[in-house]
Amino acid sequence: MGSRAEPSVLNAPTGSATRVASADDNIVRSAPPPASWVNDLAPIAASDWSYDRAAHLIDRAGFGATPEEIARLAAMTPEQAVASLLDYGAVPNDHLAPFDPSGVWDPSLRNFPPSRPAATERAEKTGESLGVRVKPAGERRLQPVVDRFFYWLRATVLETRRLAHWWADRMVATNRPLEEKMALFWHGHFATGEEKIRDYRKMEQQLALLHRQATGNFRTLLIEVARGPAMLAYLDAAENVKGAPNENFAREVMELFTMGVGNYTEKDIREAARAFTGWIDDDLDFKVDPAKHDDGPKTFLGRAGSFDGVDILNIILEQKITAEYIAGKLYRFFVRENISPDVAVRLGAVLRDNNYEIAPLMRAIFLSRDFYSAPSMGTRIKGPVELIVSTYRKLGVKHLPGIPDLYVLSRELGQTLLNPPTVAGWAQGRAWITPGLLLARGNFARDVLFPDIINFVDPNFNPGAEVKRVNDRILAGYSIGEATVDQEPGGGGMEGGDKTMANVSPRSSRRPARRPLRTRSTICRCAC
Amino acid sequence: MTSTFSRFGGMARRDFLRAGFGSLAFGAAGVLTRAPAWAQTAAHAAEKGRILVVVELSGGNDGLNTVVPYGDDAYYRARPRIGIKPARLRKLDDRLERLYKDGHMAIVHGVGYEQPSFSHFSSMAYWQTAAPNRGDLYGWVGRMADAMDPEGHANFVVNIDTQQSLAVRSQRHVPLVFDDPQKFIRTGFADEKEVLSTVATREAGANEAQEFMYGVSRSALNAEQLVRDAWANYRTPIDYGLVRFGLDRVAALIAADFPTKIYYVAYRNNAFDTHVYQGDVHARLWTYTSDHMAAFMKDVARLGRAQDVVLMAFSEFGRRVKENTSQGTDHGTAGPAFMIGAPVAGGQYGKMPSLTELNDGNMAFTTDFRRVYATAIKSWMGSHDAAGVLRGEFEPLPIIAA
Amino acid sequence: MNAAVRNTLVTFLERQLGTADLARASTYMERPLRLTAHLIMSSPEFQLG
Repeated sequence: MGSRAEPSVLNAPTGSATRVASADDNIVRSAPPPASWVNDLAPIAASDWSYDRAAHLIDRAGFGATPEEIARLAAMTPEQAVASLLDYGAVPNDHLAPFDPSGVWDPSLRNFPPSRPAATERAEKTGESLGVRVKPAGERRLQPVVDRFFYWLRATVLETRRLAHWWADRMVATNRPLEEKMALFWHGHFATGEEKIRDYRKMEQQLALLHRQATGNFRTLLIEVARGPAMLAYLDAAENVKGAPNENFAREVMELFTMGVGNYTEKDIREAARAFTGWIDDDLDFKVDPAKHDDGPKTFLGRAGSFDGVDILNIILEQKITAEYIAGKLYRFFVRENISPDVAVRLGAVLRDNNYEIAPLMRAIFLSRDFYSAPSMGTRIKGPVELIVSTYRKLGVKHLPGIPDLYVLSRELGQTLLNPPTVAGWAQGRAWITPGLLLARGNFARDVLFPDIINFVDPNFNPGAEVKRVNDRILAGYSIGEATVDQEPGGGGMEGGDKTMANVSPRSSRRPARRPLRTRSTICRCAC
Repeated sequence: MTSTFSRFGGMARRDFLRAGFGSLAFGAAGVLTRAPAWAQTAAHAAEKGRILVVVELSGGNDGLNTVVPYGDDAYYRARPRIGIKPARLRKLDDRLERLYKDGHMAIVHGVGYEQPSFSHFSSMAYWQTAAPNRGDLYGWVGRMADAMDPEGHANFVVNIDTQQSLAVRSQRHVPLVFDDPQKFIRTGFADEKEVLSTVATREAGANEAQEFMYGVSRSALNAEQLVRDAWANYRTPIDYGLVRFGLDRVAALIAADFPTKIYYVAYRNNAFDTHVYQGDVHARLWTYTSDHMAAFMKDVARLGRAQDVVLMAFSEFGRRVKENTSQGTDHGTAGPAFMIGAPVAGGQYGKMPSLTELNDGNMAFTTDFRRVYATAIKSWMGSHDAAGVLRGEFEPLPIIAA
Repeated sequence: MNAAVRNTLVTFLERQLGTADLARASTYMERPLRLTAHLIMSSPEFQLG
């Protein structure tokens, strides 16, 4: 914790911020902001600037900072402070290394089948699948294919955890905190999860896009996300074909990503779905399959034409509601949850008038009196990732520590990067807090300050007691069937109250029942 | 075509008697000597002490091998190897079948929704949010709690799990979420203990956000000890079976007079996802499940709350009609849902889907799952805002005896 | 954070250090400071930003 630096912002008080010196230290705080500041988008004056307002800015536009860093921001004018965070293109960040892949993927895993049965069907038809040939003779001739299938499921899950760790480390170490905060916001907005996508490379690709356009252009961002393999896979775009449209993709794009419910009809969704037909992800590339694309005339939001998917997106962007929806969502994330309709309209206009450039909107928000009004200050519940990253940044820690483990924390606190619960992203605010979660946050703080190295077990190398038991038996020479004979279906994870399996007379002490040998690993949960 | 229970248990129950069972004392039911300080109930809830217990069976339970249409040849044609022969169809054990025979179990056939998803993840999220093909920020139980109790009283909803389920995510409520009562504890070093609770306790907050945080903190502090006490004081002679996915803890809280109206538990980790050699696995799953659920119902009766508790069980989808090449089944559609309890008018509801008129090998659902939810929300819990909670009108089934 | 809680924390730290003088305690103050930081981070306010 150390001692605090002397802030250098001790100009004689002028303007509306009557400064009050606190008894405890040299940090100068402003008097409470006037009530008139609520919903006032006019920029604050330089005379309104103060240490605690600078702290508020870096909390929201970043992940918080040390007293020294806050003091540096407080010494600037508000415009300079916001610019130092927003115009980060000029800020060097070369100390950050790119993601270092483990090399688990190879081209034989291209066009990975959607299920284990599909993998074996392909092998039965062609004699080969996933780069593995069917055994010409012998027992369980498809087993190597099945093993390969489960190899990739596990490998991509682990690699995704590494990717999440790399990103969180970036959030801690970056000189451009707003870039990361915006990427985090967009990840929750254009939510996709690797659990369904099953390919960390698509997540990596999308993450790079979110960084690239973090404060760039929303039109570009929307179109590239919609055509990105991650989103196409996540929303089953490939199942949307001419003659049999699947509305899922069109519906999520309109309901969650751009306009919100109530601003289009079901017919609009159906017509939009037709326009998106034929969109497929060919490994990491976007393609339109002309045979599957419905290029007929369509009517969408009052416009008529033989629209394709990009046309639909552009028409959506022409709607007034779109700019207001996006600006509103940004406001609710960065400022406060209750947005006045008037503010939503005005901020929507800023976004629209700047041709969907995001930076001018963020600048307007961060400089506004409303941003520093009482309802906006100290009222936001940090999500788990923000809590973790801001804890480290405020303590001046330069890299994400390995202990406590990020993945374990993610599970305990309820937010796992690259695996949001649904395409609707994470519910913000109070949804992060339950009594159990609050206790978990306190325990997280304890783990940060007193890392338990003695009991640390890397979750990636610890698949749990059941798998260990099976492993021991296999090493002792049991066949797979015998090794898994008294496995509880679904694995463990429900120990909870006492007396689960502990007191059962173990069946393993009897001869293992004669049962067909299993062809699936008990490590993986779902074979599809 | 009639259906009846399949043989859930692969083995006689006596094989599962645990060594420790005989030593459980049937003492006086553990009762806390002090009433919980926060137990002000909403006016409605005070009138009736009704409780809903939701059991989520994750993984996609194979409905056809659970409630078996043994009178339909199509079933045996589609499942030459895993179809359960009539001779093996007998009661799973005394307990769950007795519930059906006593008229306390309702089975709803063919429960599902339009444009079904075959992804565990997505379909379960749709069930949890009651928003098929959309999802929602909040869960249906969370929204039901908000509708029934807009003031957001503490511990209105309890979720036994290591993480909060999307189903209970709520705007106004702080669900009490815990798994192991003994681990529901704020850890701290010895020197800190005294100060830890002072630091976590506040009176008034400077703004709404602070008020909320202080409220949760208070609730955690209160609940922490009460949950651990409830568990420590709870004694039951009833055997909750080999796999205890939370109903035992629910019973402990009911016994301790928690003000909770809705409990949410799950048989986790996609346990019911029986793609491969499902015969024994599925039978065992249902032994565990029925043992646990039947034990709970018996315990609730022992606690004198039989008229107050209804349990609802579901899975995020059923499975395909035709067995696969691995003597298992793949993801499917409409499966049965169950409502169990003394207040239930037992029997069969809804229409069993056809096994021959299929959509790409899958049954067509005949009852939208939101009707089952509406039954719970409106008929059982008495909320007048089922349509708001479910974002649409869904007619309850006549399952709750008036 | 209100005055009552602040006082509790100050008292706690002083007791841990055995003195109110940081300089006097400088050779052994790491653990007490970490404990105090934990207590601060366990406060409900810490979740807000």
